[in-house]
Amino acid sequence: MVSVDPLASERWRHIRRLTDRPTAFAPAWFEPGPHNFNFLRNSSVLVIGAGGLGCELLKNLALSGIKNISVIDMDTIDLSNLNRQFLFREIDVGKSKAEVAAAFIEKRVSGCSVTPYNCRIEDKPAEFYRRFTLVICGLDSIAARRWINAMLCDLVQTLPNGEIDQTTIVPMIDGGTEGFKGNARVIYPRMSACVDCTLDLFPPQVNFPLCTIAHTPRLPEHCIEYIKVVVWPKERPFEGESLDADNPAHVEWVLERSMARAEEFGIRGVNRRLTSGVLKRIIPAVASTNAVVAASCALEAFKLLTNTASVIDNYMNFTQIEGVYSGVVHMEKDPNCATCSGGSFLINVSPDDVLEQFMERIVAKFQLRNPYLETLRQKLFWVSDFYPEMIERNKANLGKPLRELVNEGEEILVVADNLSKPISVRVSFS
Amino acid sequence: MSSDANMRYDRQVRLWGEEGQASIEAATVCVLGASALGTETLKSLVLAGVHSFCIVDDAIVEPADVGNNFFLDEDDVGKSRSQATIDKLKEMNPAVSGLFLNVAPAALDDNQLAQLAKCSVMVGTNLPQEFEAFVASYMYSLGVPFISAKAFGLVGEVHVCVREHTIANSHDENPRPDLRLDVPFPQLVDMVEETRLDDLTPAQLHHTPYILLYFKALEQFRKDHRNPDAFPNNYTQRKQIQEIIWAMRRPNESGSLDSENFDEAKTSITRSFLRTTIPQAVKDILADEACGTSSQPFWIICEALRRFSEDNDGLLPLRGTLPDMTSDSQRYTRLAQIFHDRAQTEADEVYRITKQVEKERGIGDVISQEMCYRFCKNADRIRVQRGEPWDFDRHISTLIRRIKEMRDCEDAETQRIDGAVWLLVLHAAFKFQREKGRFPGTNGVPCPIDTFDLQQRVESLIRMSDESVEKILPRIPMDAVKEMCRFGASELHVVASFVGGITAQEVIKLATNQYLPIDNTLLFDGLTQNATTFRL
Repeated sequence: MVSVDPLASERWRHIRRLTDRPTAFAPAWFEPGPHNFNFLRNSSVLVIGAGGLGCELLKNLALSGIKNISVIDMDTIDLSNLNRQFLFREIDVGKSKAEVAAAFIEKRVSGCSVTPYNCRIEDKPAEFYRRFTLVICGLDSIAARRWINAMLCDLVQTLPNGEIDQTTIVPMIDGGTEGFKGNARVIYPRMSACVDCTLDLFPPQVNFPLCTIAHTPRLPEHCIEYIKVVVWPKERPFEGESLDADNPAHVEWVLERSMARAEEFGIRGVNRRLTSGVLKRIIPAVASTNAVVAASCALEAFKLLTNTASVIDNYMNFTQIEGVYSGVVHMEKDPNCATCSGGSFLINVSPDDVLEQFMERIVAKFQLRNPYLETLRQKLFWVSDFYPEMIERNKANLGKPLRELVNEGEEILVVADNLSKPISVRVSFS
Repeated sequence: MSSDANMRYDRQVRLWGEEGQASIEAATVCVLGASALGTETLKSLVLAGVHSFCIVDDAIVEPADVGNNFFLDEDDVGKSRSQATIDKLKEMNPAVSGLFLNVAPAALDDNQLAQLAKCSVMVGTNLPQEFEAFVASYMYSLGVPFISAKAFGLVGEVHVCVREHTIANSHDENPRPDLRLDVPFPQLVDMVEETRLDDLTPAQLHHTPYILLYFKALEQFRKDHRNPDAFPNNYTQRKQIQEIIWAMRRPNESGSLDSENFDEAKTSITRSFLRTTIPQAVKDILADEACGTSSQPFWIICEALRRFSEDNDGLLPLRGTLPDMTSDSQRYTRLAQIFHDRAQTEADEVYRITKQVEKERGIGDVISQEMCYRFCKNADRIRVQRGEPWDFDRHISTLIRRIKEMRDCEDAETQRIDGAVWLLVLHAAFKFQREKGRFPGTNGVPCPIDTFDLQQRVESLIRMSDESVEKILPRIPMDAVKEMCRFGASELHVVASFVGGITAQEVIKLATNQYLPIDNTLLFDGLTQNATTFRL
């Protein structure tokens, strides 16, 4: 049969089939035609992270026809990245991830421009983020996710009539993986559930109590943690350098001492892989899961930018250990979310808990670095040269039960190094 | 492993272990088709470090290939598609070797196919229906796993075909602990007997690992029931155990009864107080006739396990890993050591039997002590999957049955189409291609015309089953048939990447004998991002 396909020699034929033809599965405002592809082609997308997900995302977006891509990552390439970060080679080890990834995509996919930013996301102002049609994240840190989430929520403006100005919304698509599991979600800042609305979805960070690692270790991890948090700061090896988990000599030093400690307590299982795993808090990763989750994110980006199909509502889970699971659940927006609704986080506590316990809880919940706490009436915990009197007060407050410091329902403002703005927490006594 | 390879594969070895990595590095993969789906599958396999691959395709690169395939660039237009992808695939991992064969998969002669079938796993991508059936049957006859994958518009399919696949480690995420509360071994009994809770200071009591509390509670429970063999086997009795444990608590210096080890004891009761048995799936494996005849390592160890359990009151060897529990160092490490030593002794016994079985069957020394030890550690989680020969009629009948059993044909509000419907319409599209030499929605034919023709193919597939067309057809929404025509055989890069990622991971499962492969067909619906599994 003679081919009369008008798209026979079209590079973007596979995409144009979907953008140019009618369907029952698109949102009501979808009008088939080449303008859909043109909008996608000329939109401007920011990829945050050029690691396992980031490499896949850049490839996926470039091969979806998007011409203007930016990528931001402060990391450099490591040998252990090469089992999944396929835009990097051995000779690239030590170079900027963002720069190498951008150059690779530009070379392979003609007509695609990728602008690299070799810096932290916190280094860029609101104006930088405002100019993107869409932001896609492939991050391994909860703190960074929360930062960009708060930034995109802040970009949203309210009209004089109190309604949200839709034109100021920069949608966010967020992917995450661990081993053979992953998730992808779509967030319309201030319109749908944001990262902070659903903080409980993140697995709690494993922190071993100091008394266990110091006095009653029983696991190999306890021995390694002890060397890391007690012995290293005390002995100050390598001329007082701080512990660098990427420095093989440092890892070796910790390994040797951890093994000796394990031997002393009769604990088996300390080895080099475990030691580096504990020191770096390594998350296991494979290429295939990254490919699936990044494809899931990019598929939603494609739908969002072309309207060719309805975007998922709003959180996709994936697992591939026992067969394959892939399914979508709807996450509810929290009407009291401090980040996207201007409310406070409600925390149930016992009035007898002391401030120290309370701080441990919020540090774990929000993954805070150096938190300071104050209410409208007083500072609860504050470290600053301007408040020398707080040194003694801090100490005393840490041991006081909450009922002596705050009232039921009172607002506590939390400031921390890794928060882009303070968060508000309300205590509910139970 | 060299130190570089060690670092390169570090993040994945943490998942499947050195033994899994060694299996991958010994695996050869053959992929039929060098479009985006084939290369995306290979991407994850080359990165994982397979030994080698071969990619088979005779297509000439056209602009649309450059638009959806990352392993081709503009300069490749006009070249052989399989050849053009090779270097770009190989450069991701210098340890992997790769070959291409510039032949259309369906045009492979017997000789070529026989050579390719020597691989560990064969993958077919978007294969024509007749050839798919042919290669699936051929690979089944050889007993080599075959995966047929498709990426078509916004839907994808992964069909895993095995004759028999054995799984030495299913990586069950939440295995029940193997504590032997009902059948403690002598070293454990000794330690329990040495423990006198009344002699402990409150601090010592609060650092007593809960497994010891369990044994002490069980002693009391047996006294209460006046039965030395009593064991809690229902909710009420486990509640009694909990009350006995709760009564053991003593206040600490600040007067509080709170204590982590007692809390852990409480939360773990339901999972821990279960009689030590062999799970049904494992019983079935040990009763399989392959145990008595096979010369494969998996079945030889299973035969040894069977004989071991016959001599050991119907038990499997001890797993030997103690769950983490609050304790002082001394008692926890002693318990951990006791469990470890016992597991080692029992695994040594199983190993001794495997050597006997090897001798009986006249085969050499194939099973190492380490392999046997690892096997015993996961003995309660071994699995076997068996498949049937490829039978298109059976596949369709199964799908139709499933469609018949659907509650309602379409959820009007969410527009959600059942996975079985998508799969049936996808097969109809491939039937369309088989009969007309092109896919629906291609060659510039108006979609409404092709929709009509595709609908006819859907009908003729329904006729292949025992069900009536009048009953089933109304359950196939016209929108789904139209959508399949809209797709026009497009292979979106992101869908290919999604399906390719899944396919690669299934190859890894098959090559490592770890994790559970799809049993046996997965339909991915990109419109909703839902995946459905069918046993066709």
